[in-house]
Amino acid sequence: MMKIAVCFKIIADYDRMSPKDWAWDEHHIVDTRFVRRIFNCFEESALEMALKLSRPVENPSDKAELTALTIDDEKGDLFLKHLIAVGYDHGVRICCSRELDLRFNPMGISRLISAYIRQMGQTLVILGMQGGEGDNGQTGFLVAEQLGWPCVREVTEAIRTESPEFLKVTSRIDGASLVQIIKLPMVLIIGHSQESPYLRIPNLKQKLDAKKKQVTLLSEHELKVNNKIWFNTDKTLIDLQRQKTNQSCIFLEGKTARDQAQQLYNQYLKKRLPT
Amino acid sequence: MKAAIVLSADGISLQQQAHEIKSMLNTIEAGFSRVELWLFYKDLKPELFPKIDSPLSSIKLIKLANVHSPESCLQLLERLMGRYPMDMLLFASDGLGEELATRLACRLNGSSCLQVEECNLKSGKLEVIKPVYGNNLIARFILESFPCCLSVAKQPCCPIKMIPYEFVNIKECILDQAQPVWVKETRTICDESGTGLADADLVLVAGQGANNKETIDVLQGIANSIGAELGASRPVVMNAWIDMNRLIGASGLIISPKICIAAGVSGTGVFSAGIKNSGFIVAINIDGKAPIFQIADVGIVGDLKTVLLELEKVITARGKKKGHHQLPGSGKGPQ
Amino acid sequence: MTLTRQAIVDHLIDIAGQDRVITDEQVLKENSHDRYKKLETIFGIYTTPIPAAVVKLADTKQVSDVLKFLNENKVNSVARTGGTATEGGLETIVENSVVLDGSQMNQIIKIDSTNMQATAQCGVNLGELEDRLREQGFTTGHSPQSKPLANMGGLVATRSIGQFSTLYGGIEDMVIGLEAVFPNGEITRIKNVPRRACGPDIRHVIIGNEGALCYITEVTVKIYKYFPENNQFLAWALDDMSLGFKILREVMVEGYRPSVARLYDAEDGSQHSFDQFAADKCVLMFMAEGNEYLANATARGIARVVEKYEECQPIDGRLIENWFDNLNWGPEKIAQERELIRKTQHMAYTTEVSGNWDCINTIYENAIKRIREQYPHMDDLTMLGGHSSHSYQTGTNLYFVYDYDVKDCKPEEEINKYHIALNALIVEETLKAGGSMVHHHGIGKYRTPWTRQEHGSAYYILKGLKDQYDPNGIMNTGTIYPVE
Repeated sequence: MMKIAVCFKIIADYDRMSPKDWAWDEHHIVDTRFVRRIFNCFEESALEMALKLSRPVENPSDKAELTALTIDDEKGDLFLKHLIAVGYDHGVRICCSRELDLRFNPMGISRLISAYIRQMGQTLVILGMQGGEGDNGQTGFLVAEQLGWPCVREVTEAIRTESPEFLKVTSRIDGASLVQIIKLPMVLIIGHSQESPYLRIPNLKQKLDAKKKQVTLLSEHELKVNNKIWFNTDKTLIDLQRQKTNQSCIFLEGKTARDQAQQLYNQYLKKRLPT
Repeated sequence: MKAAIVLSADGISLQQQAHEIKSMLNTIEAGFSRVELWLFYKDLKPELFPKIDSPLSSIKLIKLANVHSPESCLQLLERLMGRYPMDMLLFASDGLGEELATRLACRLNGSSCLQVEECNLKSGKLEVIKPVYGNNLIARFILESFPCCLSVAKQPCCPIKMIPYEFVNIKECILDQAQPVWVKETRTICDESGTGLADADLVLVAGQGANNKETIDVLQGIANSIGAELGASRPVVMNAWIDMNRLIGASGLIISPKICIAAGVSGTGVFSAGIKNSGFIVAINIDGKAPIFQIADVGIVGDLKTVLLELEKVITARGKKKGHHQLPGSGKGPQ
Repeated sequence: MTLTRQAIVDHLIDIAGQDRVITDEQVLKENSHDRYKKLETIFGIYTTPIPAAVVKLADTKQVSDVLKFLNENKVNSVARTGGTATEGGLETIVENSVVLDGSQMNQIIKIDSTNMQATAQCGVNLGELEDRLREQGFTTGHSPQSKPLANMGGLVATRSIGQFSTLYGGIEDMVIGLEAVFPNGEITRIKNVPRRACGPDIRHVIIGNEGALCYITEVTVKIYKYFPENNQFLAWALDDMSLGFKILREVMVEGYRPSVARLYDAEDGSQHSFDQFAADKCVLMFMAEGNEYLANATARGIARVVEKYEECQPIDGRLIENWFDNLNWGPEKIAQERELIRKTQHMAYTTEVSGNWDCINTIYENAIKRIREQYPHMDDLTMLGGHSSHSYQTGTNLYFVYDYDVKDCKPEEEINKYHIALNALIVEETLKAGGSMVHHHGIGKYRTPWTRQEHGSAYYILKGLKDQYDPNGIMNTGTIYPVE
């Protein structure tokens, strides 16, 4: 049976943060404990795509074993349970010592993921294009390097083929879509997927059943990744800065849309519009 | 310091990618002892090259047997670095550039960073600046080891001129390349004609506040009437209300029109990165507290369709390019 | 003799002018329904008759002229401003109805800071009015989730209530004076006085009439000083709803008036991401508001009440504050909802009721139990839960929320298979226990089968109003009053 692992990292819902919330302490940690957590959009697509891949409609008995993997503190457990409810066979959380700041350390993250994959024997690893606080965009590539596997980036769709060893993968390249038939094992990095934009929703029974299942917890020691050198990073954070914003937006006060449109055109657009 | 710029000569975005690398190079205060251009190509040997500001010491042309194989590129780059070691390698802002930068640095025990906006040499180490936390913050990093492989940040459209570089040493590198054994079949489907978004002077960007595809179609009509290109934020694209090639934002297009009208867009960090370089930003949103107003020059709190229909009337009445849009379902003009 | 569709349109054009009479097909379809029939309309299926025209009314005189015409010719009308009604109240169920759209009567007429009143036409958007008031340090105190979209006329017509009602009351507590036009064209103005005993309070003929008696053209509401800097959020996690109701009651009976007082069960809480900090627990939350002394005393007093109960574990108020700040329906959230529905055929609905303290937990438990045991399509449900969000001296409301996947069912049949069936079970249990079947959404067109049972012998009074003011039955037929 094919074994698939999907790696994700929940993040704070940044859209719910106002400008004053973007503050940090002396360790450059932004306090987001008061904001709800969500999946990032690429990982949501990855998680849904994997579900479709693992349960092909044409041949439902040809199920693949699906594992959802995250590196997080206990906040990750709720999301793993949710993934079990929508159909994941296993939810695994790698918990690291709290002093480790992995936000900008995709190398460290990829070592943990690769160690898990080597131990558990999946032949397909799926990740989102970028996410986490760091938006590093590098974890998938580094996992491929660690495992010595091919990887396909900006994947929009992946489906099974008649041969169990191959997948048909569609991805984006400069000015075109690339369709490849590729042999497992491989790493897929998911981009914008209109085919799988959202994760499905579990029904009440599925949620209840998932409550009874356990999430698997692993430490970096159990994965034999406990040498401090393994977490050396190739970049060190020096400081953070806010993005510049325009403090002085002028609001047009017209009573009707017509007034507002007239004012917008006469006062601001007329002189700027190309003739 | 020695640097090499790595690009694909056959890529349709070559000139834009070169511009982005040039912009990033211009942020470095320290001088380079050597800047080379390493160009991959498949069939025709390039004879024109992107004109960058830094003087080029050499251009190396590397023939690629397998054009869609990042692994082939990586192996070739490893061998080139063995022969011509560089301190810094600059890659394009696209997915291939990101993949090559990351994986090559890993193989060479160097450092890598993507979406690099600025870069500087400080006390013998490279300092880079890139967006983090969903484009809400900017971070400054020190890269710990050389070679440093950077994929630069996307920039608004400004394609570089191509010139022959008559007085620069141009060297062809023909190297043996293995076929990637894991790919059974490959097929490319070229995109249909692109949009004019990248260099339009007037852009209308629609957000989720448009509510449905029918309204997006109305906005397309309005855009046509007023001579604007229509772009969209991610939710609109993911709902398949508009084509993916009209996505504006950090993971889509970065635009810099003279005027950008953002209608029904809430204005997340990721989206704002796509339009912040515009000359003048107008935001229309029914929610006066939407974050988009933090980057707009002028704001209208109101219904986007009503306001834009009125704006269309005003602009077309002034004898600009005439056109008429159709209200959905009626086949007639406005009542 | 019944007028033809075209004749109706022609007459309306004579009265209001061509520009104000809309007959575009898509506009008519959009105006044939409200937020009740979500699935059908998302798929472009319109099973309700399409109205003959939408009239964009200019002023009160025009409202009067149009209503007179409709009344003389027995043409059904539906009053509409923001269009955010949720119970089918805006459906044009009679052939060739005319939608009376007051959204262009959108002037804020006066903000009177001496008498602490604001006067607005029916088409003024509440969000806009609030923003204007806040610039001057005031607030209406009215904050329904539909605030960015809802307009004053509809808010009064539906007896709406907002998120801060536990302090400010519902719309009925906020309205001072009104102007309304009756079907015979009579324009009536109720003046703005603080209180009077000059006969029964006739404002209450108008407030909550859901367009079944008259057309509201202007509203004057109280305004309050606005002290957002003093807002304090308090929240606790606890195991069960019956304890939550007990504590809610105690807070109210002790005399505290927080602006927000809410109790969520675990299921409903999970869709708000409360499970991220209170997994499998109920969440009890309060917001204290007002001037510095009042806000502090309210917060301290509530904390003292709750902290007596060891079962209650405190929750960081910032989590609730952040959640609350993001709660309103913007058009974006509604659009997101629509597209997700189209893609996944997954729906979310609510039924909200009210009851006295001694029966509210019974209503909660019995309704949920009945659904679990008797509803035939339980397997399609993805969420079933509830919360209380408006408390009083004598009782509280209860929102039942249910989400479901639409399975083996055409879009136009979905509402019968799911929402109406679930709604019926909840309404029956509520009425059995002595509660009210609708706390603030209005009867609309779909709870009319229970209107008589809801009112009992008092239906005589309600019916009398319809007989007196709308003898020809042209005001939003099918709303509140069952079609006999």
